[in-house]
Amino acid sequence: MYSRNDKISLRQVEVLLILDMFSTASLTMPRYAAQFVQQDGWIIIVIGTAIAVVYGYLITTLGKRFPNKTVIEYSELLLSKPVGKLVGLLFIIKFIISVALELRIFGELVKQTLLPKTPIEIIMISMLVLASYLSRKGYEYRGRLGELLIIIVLVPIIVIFIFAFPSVKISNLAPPVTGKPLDYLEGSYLISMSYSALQVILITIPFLNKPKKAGPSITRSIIFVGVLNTIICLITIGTFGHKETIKQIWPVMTMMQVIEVPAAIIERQDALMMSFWIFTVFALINAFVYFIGVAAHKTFQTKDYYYWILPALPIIYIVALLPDNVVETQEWALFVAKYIDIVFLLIIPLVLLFVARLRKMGEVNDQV
Amino acid sequence: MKSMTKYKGVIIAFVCIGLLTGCWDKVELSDRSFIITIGLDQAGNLLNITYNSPNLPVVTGQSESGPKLFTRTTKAKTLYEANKLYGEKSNLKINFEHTKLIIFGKEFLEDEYNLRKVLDYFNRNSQFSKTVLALATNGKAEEFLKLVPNADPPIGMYISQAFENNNTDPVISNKVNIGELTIMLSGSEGNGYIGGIGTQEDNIITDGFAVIKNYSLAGWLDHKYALPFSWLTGKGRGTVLSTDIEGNSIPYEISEINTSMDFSMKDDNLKIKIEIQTEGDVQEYILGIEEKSYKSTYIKKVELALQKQMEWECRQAVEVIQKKFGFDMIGAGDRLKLKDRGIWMKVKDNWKEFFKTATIEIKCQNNIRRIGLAK
Repeated sequence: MYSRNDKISLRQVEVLLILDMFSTASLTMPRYAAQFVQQDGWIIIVIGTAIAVVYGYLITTLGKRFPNKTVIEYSELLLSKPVGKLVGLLFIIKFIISVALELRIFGELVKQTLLPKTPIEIIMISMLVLASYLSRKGYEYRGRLGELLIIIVLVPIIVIFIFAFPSVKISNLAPPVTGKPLDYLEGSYLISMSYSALQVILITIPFLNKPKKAGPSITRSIIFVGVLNTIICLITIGTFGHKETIKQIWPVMTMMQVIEVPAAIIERQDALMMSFWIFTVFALINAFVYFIGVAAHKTFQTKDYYYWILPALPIIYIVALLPDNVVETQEWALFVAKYIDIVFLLIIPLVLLFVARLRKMGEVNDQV
Repeated sequence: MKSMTKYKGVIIAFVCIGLLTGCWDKVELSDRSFIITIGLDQAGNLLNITYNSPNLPVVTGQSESGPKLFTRTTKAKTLYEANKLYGEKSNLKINFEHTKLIIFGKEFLEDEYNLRKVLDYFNRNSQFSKTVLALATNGKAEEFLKLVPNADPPIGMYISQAFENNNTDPVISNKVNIGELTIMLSGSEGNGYIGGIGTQEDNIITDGFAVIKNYSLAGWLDHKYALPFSWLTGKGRGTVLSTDIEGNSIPYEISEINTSMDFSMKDDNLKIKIEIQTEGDVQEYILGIEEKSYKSTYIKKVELALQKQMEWECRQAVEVIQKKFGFDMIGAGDRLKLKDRGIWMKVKDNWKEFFKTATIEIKCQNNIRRIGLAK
């Protein structure tokens, strides 16, 4: 048995972030992108990724000032205790909603493509239980598993996408830049919110072995996922055309069905791809479950974080079953992306950073 | 404490018994009915669906008696209901994961809702691969599927294999699968085409294209236009162009083809200049003209004749496409998007009208590169 020291390397946080950001949001991203600006979807993904880099920069700049504290602890320091507790509570609620929606989308997708006869409850419960098992083991274990999973996830996905290139019709992507500027702005904003997993960095910083050097790793992981998303979007819209892309609920999934892998013995590679995708969903769900525990632990100052994980499971499960169907689930997710994520990605970090500068608290870094 | 560990062991053992039973709801391969081909027809106000599935024990050689192929038909309002009905009729579990071919009957395509409904079903249902081949027949799909072809594998397999391996047929080179058909239709307000197929004395032959307009059958692009159509779309590699010189028919096999289009606009009148450049081999002249044929002047003469023939055929096909069907089957819009952004922005909202009234100029250039082994 390894001892639990709960310190992870920068490489591990990079890998974990890539897995967290590259989850179910990537499966629907081409649709949202095409809804805003038709064939120019990839452009707003590029802009959206650039915006996400700004969020990442803000969050790490803030984190560097307090390298040994989570957002909950230093907001108590900066804005008085009750406000700190409120921030903690907000984070817990946000994480519960996010993980619940992610879990539900995962369940719907698996039921639709892989296990049509299995009750969705069973699919969701087994995922949740497995994820919480890992969460209870601590951050270091998650880091090590992430390093394993990233290879299993990315290699097959990239190989499959290479085979997708021949089906791309460039005329589906032409002519570029024909929409209204406002659509590009709105679209980029929404796309940038699909990187909302970045908010976990607000809590991650004290777990890093070199918290002051987190910046480049985090930027790198955002750009990596951004490039991947852009390529997927180019291929999807290039294959289907924007009209058909908008029609598909999971355009990337459907694209897997269209790809003809030469000399393949597999008839439906979408199901195969789905099983790789499950790993990223697993990484994301266990990240959120873990951070629910940590946030609750820091907010209520208990002995350890993992007391909170088991009690959280039924709540997550119930919230996940609240939406009536896939459509409603996605409407909820869209609502969260439009109006709520911004609070955690931009508003809270900005306010805290502002107050920290004003009150001259925290370690000031020369590089900032 | 000791008893605790004992209990733990017992509990784990019981859980194992529950979890390690394996495939308790498995379905054996021979208990499944793999539908290879689906034929869609209209029968009154119902759909008449014909299913072809191979008799697996016979096909795989495990059993020798019985037919190779089962053909069943069901009638229902929707394809989904028909599939359910089929499930009730058969002792086997219906499975569409290996479906290779879908054949649309003529009457089925003539209805304005049928195609939309069925394509939506395929699109929504994850059991169907999007690469299932789509074909149309100028008669009833049911009769087609009941036909026992002059071929060994079951009919659906036979056709999909033929379409896989023969890229030189003009219809085959422009074949569409269900996914492509859906994309084509949704990208152009319900306009598209499906490869046609027919029979000739127990043999299956390709038969032009079924042209779909507003999601229903607008007519048939005759088989004689299939060849020029494949040149216009630039997919005619391997096709053969023949021309008459001094009473001799000379076949020219196209080994390389490059179709390009140029666009210009003058007083709201679109002009499309299509240029087709090919390279190829002459497969046969006639014995006894060696003196003449092994000269570059003669080859030039043949090239000129081929060019005239090709231009004439293409012009006729374009005429039919423009005047009779009136929509952009040859993908000019896609090329315009890439070529000239300015013109495209002007015409894109009314592309159908612009294409209909466009002046289309065709220029062909054929280069004979090889003439075989003899003079």
